[in-house]
Amino acid sequence: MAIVLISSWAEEARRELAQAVAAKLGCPSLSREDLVERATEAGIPVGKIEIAVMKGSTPRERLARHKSRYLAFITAAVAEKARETQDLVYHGRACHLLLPGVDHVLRVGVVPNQERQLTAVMTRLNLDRDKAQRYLADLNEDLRNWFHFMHDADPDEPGQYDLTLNLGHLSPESAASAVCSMAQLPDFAPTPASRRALNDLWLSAKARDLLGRDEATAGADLTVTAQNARVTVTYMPRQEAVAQDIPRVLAGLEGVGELVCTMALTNVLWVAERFEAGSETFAGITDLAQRWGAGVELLRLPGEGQPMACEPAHEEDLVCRPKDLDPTGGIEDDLPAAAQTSGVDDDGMAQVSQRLISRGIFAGSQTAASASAANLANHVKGQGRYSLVVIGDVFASKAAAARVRQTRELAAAVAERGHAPVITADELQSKFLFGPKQMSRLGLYLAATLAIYLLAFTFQNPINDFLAGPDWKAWRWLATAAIVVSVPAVAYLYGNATGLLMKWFKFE
Amino acid sequence: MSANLRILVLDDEPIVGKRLAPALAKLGCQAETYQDPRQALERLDQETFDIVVTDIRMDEIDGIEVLERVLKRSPRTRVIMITGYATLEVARESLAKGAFDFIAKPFKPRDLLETVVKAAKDLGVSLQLPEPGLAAEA
Repeated sequence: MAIVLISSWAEEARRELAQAVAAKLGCPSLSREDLVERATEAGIPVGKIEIAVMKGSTPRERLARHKSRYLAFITAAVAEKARETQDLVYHGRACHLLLPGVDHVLRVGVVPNQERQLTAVMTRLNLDRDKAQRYLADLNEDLRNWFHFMHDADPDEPGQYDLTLNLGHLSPESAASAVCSMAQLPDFAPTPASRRALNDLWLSAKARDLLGRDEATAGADLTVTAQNARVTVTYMPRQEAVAQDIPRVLAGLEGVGELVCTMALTNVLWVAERFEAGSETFAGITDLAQRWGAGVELLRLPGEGQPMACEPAHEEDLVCRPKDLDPTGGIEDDLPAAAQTSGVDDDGMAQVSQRLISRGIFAGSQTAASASAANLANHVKGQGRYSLVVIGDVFASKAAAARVRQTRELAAAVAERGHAPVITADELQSKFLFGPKQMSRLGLYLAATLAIYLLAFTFQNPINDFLAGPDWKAWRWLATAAIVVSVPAVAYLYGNATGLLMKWFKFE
Repeated sequence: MSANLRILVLDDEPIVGKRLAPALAKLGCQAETYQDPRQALERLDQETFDIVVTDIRMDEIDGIEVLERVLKRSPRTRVIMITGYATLEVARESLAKGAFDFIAKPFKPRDLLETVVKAAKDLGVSLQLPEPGLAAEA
């Protein structure tokens, strides 16, 4: 039978429905609240994540690592319980996103009865109607922020659920009956493939959880995947020291057929004045990095007239921050300077770093003291560290001509120092990724190639006559010229078509 | 007036009071620490404190009840809630019931001092944060 995930921000509504569904199906139930308690006891600062989301206070990089641990813990616990009991009802705030890729999961969204929820809050918290409404509005805003932070997803996207129930128009009993009927459909029955997917998900989450608990590996940016009991842990080159600890930490993990520890082969360097987590460039770079098994390093250029203060940090890095936005204000803090990103307008770098950490492909970030080509030598590392440099939005305050010239100079300086191909964000899509434009080009090239071959095979005799027949003996030079022109043209069309096809199927 | 600011710290883990009391003293406040909520409530019935710092999850009496009792007796008192099991729901509930602020454990003593300074300012009292160096976590 299906694993039923019941998702709602209203705890009482989902709890009531989950208990009714579990009773009808005769299967165990588990709640987010049970697991949060266990996660806190396991040393994951769940409360700090919650309050930081509410206050927007803790540096996002640290928060992203806590989040990663929390999600691994919850995923491992739900998947483990589901493996043990075969069927399970679990309810949580956004639990429908917890077991991606497992087909025998029924994802249910619950819209609570608003009036009933308000009355319950008034009674439970002893608040008048206005205060209770304000409490619910504030709480829903916090929960929306939490959802965005935790899952990088839009809570209002209806496609996330297999079934959405509005308890404003449906009694809990009827809602439970609807869920049970749907859970017993053959579409949600487990198959060997879906069980394998659940097992792999459990294995990767459990491995991530164990690595997050060990002191030696807790601070590392790791990507953990599992396929058919083969667990692969990828670490960033700057954290090479953790490689020896990974097998030790995962030694006792049951069910691991093979453990592979691998270093991210290379880094993609993204240079920009402003970073946006929702931009096409971000999507393109992360897609590319994940395909290449690469990390993404961020290099932020200061805007015009923005004075920067720099100081040497760990390894050979310089850490720079805007002078007028220095968050320390002359008062030292317990955190290393480089980690203090909260509350400062860092042009989106902290948010993008957090997203990259969530994907396990964050390879570091730094801010250049100035955008001058000479200065960049201090920040761009050589020795083939990068496989690609992407120049994003830079010199935004300049006129178009100056922007093009300075971007070109910047690209040359970075290429010289980094010994890597340098492209602009606009070129990223056309050179490495496959989108609607590439699809239409593929169609054109394929059509032209097919037309040429079709014509060549349809009119073989006239073509042979033209090339070697006695009628055209006096025009051999024309046949030679036709071959000289047509062969490269066909090669160009065919080469582009196959190149685009390979890009489409992600063959590098 | 800063030297006269009276603070009551209530947490059933003795280590919390032990670590916070010296930090609050450096701020120039008089801090009393309690592990038993009943004793703390008795004391709160006898005396009005400027600031109360209370854990939420305790045996017998929870921090929300302490918050309600304190504000009922002395609406001027600023109550700071601390807990290792913070959730958005509990934090919002505390704030809706009149808590001044909410801090999730583990936290550094300096985090609490910063909140106390804000609470003092809200009471019209100016406090100066001591030099950093109180890094140990509560």
